[in-house]
Amino acid sequence: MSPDTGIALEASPPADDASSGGRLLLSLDEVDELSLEDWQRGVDMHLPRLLQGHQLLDLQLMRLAGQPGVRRLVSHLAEDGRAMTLEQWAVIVRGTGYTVSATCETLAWPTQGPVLARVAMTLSPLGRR
Amino acid sequence: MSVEHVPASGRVRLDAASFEVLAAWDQDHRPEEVRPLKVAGVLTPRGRPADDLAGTLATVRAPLCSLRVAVGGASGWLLHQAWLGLEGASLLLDLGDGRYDLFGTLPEAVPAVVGRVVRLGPRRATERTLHEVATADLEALWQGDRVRRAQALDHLGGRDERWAFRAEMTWPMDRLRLSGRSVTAMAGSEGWWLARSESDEVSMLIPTTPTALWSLLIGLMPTEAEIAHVEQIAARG
Repeated sequence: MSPDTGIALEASPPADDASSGGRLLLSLDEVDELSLEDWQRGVDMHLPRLLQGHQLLDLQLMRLAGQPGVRRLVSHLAEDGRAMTLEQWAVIVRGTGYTVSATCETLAWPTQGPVLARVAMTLSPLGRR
Repeated sequence: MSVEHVPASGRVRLDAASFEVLAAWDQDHRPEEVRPLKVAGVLTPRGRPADDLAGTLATVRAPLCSLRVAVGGASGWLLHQAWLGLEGASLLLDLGDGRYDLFGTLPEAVPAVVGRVVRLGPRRATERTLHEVATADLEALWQGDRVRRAQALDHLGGRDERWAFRAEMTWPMDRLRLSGRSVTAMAGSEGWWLARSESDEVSMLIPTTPTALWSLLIGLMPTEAEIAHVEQIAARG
């Protein structure tokens, strides 16, 4: 895991792949005593500053790995101006906040989003029962 | 006539009459119709579009397909338009005060613009069941006057934070033999509903999510197969 970014896993197509830029990212945060709500409130404040053209489309509470979790859907622009859709799942397990982010170009999202979501759900800890 | 143009920005804020003149800039117009566009720098002294608007206007005049997005609720209704081309899209966003924002963007950026103008976003969803409503009540939200909208909102379940939209994509030429498509939805304090037309008079309101609506809005965009079909027809002349 990168100590600077908290990124534990990144899966993306090769740089010369001209496909839809689909990418999965698992990141870990030490959230200590923060509740899920407080942690995610901070994320909701941080994301608009991080992502150009940030637009929160959906936000729902859901069970992930048997724990209360959050799923959000965000539209934003990539650094090169491409329109992107980000789907993100977050859960706290034993003091660690796990976030899985699935991103692809917006026009590809209706077909690629469900595939990325299925792969995301196999990642520990989201897939842990 | 009202026209504001920030030079080199590719954006114009103007009223409907000015837009009609601008979109048909090569037609004959009375001098007083053209003058505000020239004063604002939208048209050159020779009457041609400014460089930063040429692409946007070209797409308006010869689009691959068009999009109309009507949004309405208790406070009023707005009608936004988009014209999509292969390389660019042009948007005319209704500001609600008689003025419109005209600008160009990439075609793939259009769903996000539509999502913003229909206020797609999280709602605290409650347990709901599908039910029938009068299509005329839904349509009144983006067509009716204040009294009719208030009456329609009462019929649809209440006036609190309730609004609806219809986004419709159409093809400009019948000879393309392509079908347009549309998305109609309503938002209330209890969540989002997708409206499905059951007949001319009746629509079914189906509980849905912003995620499902996002997918449907993206689905309004032309597919690669449709684009290939249009190019094939165009090549035949």
